[in-house]
Amino acid sequence: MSGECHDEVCITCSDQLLAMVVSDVDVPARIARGTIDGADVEVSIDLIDGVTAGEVLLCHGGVALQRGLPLEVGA
Amino acid sequence: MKFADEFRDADLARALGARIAAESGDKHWKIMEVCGGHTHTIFKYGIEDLLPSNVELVHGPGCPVCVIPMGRLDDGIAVAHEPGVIFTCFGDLMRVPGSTGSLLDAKAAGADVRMVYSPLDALKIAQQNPDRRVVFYAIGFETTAPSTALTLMRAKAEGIRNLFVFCNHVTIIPPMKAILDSPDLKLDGFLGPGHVSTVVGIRPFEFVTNTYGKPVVVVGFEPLDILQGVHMIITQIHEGRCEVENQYKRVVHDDGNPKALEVLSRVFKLRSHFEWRGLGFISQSALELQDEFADYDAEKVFSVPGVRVADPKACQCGEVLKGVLKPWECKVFGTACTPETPIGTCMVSSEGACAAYYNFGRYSRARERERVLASGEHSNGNGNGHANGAVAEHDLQPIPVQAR
Repeated sequence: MSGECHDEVCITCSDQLLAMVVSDVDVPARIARGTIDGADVEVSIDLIDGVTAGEVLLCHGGVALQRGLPLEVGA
Repeated sequence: MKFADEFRDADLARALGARIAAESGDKHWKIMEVCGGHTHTIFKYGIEDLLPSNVELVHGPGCPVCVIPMGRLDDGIAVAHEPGVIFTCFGDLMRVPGSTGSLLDAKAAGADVRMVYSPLDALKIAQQNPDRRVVFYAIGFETTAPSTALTLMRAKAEGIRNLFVFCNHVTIIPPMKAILDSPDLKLDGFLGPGHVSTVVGIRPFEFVTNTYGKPVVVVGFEPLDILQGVHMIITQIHEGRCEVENQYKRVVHDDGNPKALEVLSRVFKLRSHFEWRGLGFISQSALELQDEFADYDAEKVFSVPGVRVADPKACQCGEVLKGVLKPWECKVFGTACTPETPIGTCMVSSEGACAAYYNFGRYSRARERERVLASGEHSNGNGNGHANGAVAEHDLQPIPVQAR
């Protein structure tokens, strides 16, 4: 997953989940693309079934771990 | 989460703080936040200043960088110096001091050390460099371990043979048990780790309520999440309840993520024991690769020194990680040990209690110092109630102990 560490925090060391709005899903490759804080990112969706464009995924270390609420990205 | 303004409302936070003050009575409450992310939030938003002085937040061992012992880091640096190796790791780890330097120092000395955001990035590097051996130094709790597991499964499925994982993944339950068994610290309850619980769920924490009689509230990472978690613990105790509650229901499901747990059990098994900085060896507290993935195990493929290295005498990270000392009570806090020149791991990561105090906690520190001086008590290592006593140069050096 591309992305910037922010707030002087290493996003992976700090166990953070980052919210990503899904723009498209590549089912054969098991990846979803979207944006986190405005940056284009690509995450594995091996651990979440039935991901569709428009929903929010909570991601860590390049992997979506959970679905999120729109609230999580300020929508 | 960023932009979750609803959970950062200052008026609501003050109102919740006032409610906690009204309901906490005269008792001195000690509540441990297990996760380093919580520690960071507490200091960034000044949560302690919204709480009454009788409600004390104790900062636990939930920063994965902070609990890595120096010897394990030396092992990683030794691998990074192996010919032909591309060594990858997360950002904070690069600055953690080993006994003779950090990974950044190794990079400056010529080792090919690269920062990645995901182990999947390390896999890409391995694919792009088939003639090189790519090592990923894996750290983190159950939140991070699934990405390592998925990476190894992909590497195996795609026949990638030049990727290796130096596994330092740890699990959160055993250190909580070690802390509860420690005679040093008497806690009233725990703020449970929100994002670890996204993977493991809330049920693994039931031993804390059932065996130790301490309430646990799994909380989120915004200021109101933490304040509400504190209030829920106090309410439980007032009502005579002792339960695992889930304040972070908008993210954490009670059963966690079963697919993630399945992936973890396929790729990892529990180590018989693992050394934690400050807590010593804790049985079944870390992960190693299953035999099926032995060919990807850097510890089996590379020769690692395996030397245990004790922290410098002056460093009191261990006591800080157990919550026995406040960071500012350490002898070298803010003087010899700063985020720019860390001696201990707790000063490296922003989730480390020392870095959090240093970056955000000066006001709280001053308030605590006034309280300690007024009460005449002292708990710091230099024995005079003041932080930052003089330290001899040899006390700043790491101490080789023995081969693991």
